[in-house]
Amino acid sequence: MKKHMGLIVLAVLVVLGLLTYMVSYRVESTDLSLVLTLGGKVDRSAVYDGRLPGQAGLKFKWPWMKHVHYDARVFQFEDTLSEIQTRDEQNILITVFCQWQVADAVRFYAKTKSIASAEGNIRRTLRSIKGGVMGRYDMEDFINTDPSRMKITQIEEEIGDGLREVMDETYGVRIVMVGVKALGLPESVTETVIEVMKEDRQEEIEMYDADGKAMAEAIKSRAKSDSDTILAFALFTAENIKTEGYGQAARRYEQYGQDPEFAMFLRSLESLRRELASQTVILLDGSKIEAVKFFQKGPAVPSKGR
Amino acid sequence: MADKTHNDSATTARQDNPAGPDRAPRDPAAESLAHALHLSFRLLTVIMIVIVVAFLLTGIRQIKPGQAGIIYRFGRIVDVVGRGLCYAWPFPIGDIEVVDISPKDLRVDDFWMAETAEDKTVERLIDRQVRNDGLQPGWDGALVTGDGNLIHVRFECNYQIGSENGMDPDESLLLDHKYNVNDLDLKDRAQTKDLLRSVICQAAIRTAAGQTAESIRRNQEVFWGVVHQGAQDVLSDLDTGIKINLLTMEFTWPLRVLPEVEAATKARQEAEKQLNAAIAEAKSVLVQTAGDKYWLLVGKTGGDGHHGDTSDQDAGPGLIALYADALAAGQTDQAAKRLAEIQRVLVSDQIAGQVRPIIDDAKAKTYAMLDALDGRVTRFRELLPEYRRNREFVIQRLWADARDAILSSATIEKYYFSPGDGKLVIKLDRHPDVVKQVREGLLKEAAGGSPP
Repeated sequence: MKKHMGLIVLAVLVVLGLLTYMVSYRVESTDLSLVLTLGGKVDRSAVYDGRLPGQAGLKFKWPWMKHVHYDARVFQFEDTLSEIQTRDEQNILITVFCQWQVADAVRFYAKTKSIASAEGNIRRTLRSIKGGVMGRYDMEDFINTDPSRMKITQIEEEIGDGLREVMDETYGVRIVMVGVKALGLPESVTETVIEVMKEDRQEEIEMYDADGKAMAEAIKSRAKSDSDTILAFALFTAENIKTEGYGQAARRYEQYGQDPEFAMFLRSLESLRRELASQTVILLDGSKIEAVKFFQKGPAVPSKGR
Repeated sequence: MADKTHNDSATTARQDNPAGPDRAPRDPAAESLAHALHLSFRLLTVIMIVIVVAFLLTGIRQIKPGQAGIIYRFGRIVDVVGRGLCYAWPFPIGDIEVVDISPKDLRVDDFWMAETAEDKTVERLIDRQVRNDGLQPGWDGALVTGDGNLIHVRFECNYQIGSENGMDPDESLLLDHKYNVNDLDLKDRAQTKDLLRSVICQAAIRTAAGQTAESIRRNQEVFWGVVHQGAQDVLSDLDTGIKINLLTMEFTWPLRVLPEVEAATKARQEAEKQLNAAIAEAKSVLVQTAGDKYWLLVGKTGGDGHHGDTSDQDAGPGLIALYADALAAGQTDQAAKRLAEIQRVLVSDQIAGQVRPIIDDAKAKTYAMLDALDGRVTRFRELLPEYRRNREFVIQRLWADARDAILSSATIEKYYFSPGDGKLVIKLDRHPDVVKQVREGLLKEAAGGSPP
């Protein structure tokens, strides 16, 4: 018996493993999970949200019970491109995307059972709500160079709210977000838009041709005028500097008041020196100059006693 | 009866056994079988141990740089680990999910024109064949702008999940992504890509719908910056754990408009060329007039077409314009202040060009005049006391000094004569030697720098 203990333990482990497999199940961290009784009813005591603390992990059930689980993460789908008429009777092409997730596993199981089926329901509801909401807005609410008058965000929220009203409570889903994925114009309209764009460019060409030279001339002419103005201010400033200098000179001249006659004498001497400084011919009467007499008679000897 | 027979046989066997009375005699076949069973059991035990060890070892995983590991136990997330070796209980008890958190690229071309393989071989868009007059819905992508125009753009997006740097995991971001975006375990990340594409398209539509096509063309970096921010805000609000590292954009007009756009671009470039030449000439004129800082006086803004110079928008209209405005508004005090500022600028070192010599000349003349005057006044004050003591002597001395200075000058011609009864004739036609002498004297004086 002892010899076969190992095999026996192994067999017991295998059997226990199989039994555990039959009566246990795992709740993943990203799952919503529930268990159905033999009659197909939901066992309320075994409904788990794996995202909540302590709810994910190994759980047990009777072998005849059925484990059902849904991915609790966000799903996304894109609506098909559809042409919608705005309130001001303009046609617009629009595609929206929708993000949703299973919020209540019990209600979701009761209503739709599968993700694919739920998505189909949401798609159909979205399509009908989208047309209704967009028909209440004008084209300028979609595109407008004044961003404050643009209402795309409001339109997205309105579609999302409408979808939530229908889907959330009834189907056990949560509409996370609805957004505009594509916004376009019908082909015939794009043809017109492109023609207008071409005409705009033509006008642009004409404008550049006409205005280019005129603007260049205006800039040059303005520069010349500014240059003249600067020079005029410079001359004015130069005159001011000189005037200020004369003012300072006048204050200095006040000192001559001590003896104006002597001051004028000094000034005359200075003038004389400057005026006779060059290119001057001077005729001198040799008989009146002592130095000249020196060469004629020799130096005069001062008389004694003088 | 059977038991008895068995016991008898055993007793007989023990008695015949030469090995000893305690050892039972063995059937060789049975012994061989027992031996084989024993060996098999041992082998099986070893195999079981090896299997168990191998099973336990399957819980070891290596996490490389740019990867993260999410460790599960019975489906419950128990840890997030970065690069290195890590261990978890083997499946089905535990598991390690290896997630790529390195940066990835995604092209969003929902707003780009339809391209065939043949189209892609043509490098310049303008050379491509245009098939339709308009854009085909569902085939050609385009953005509708606020002014009702159509443009094509495509984005190049670089993103990562669950990490701030693309190398090490950020547990919060990684779990956000795990809990909210349901493709973490898929290699192609289809849901992440769809989500990114959707939020980038949504942000682009919202941004373009409020701007003109021309403003988007001119400010492409601003446009894609706004789209980047808008998309990232939505991703963060949804707790997706996705981070957009970089978003860039390519822009073009619809193919049918491109020839006109190119012609308009040429016309604009030509106009800009003329404008730039005019600006350069204008600047040159003003720099010649007042130096590089001319704009202090007359401004340099280009917005009002002033000098077409947009390099310094803070320069303002210039002091002279402000002065003129103040005068026009009758604000005499303000005008006087502006005038004083203009003069302060004109006499400062900031101003050069033609203005500089005008100002410098005025300054030099004024200073020279004042210097000369200072010299005279000083001389006057020095001589005055002596003059008052002996007027005649000082007058005579000064006269003598002046006469000496004049008569000793090399540049003055002097003629001495003695008047008599005869007629005195002086011919002023100079001898060449005299002229030369006079000129040399003048040059010598000029070289000596003595004031006139």
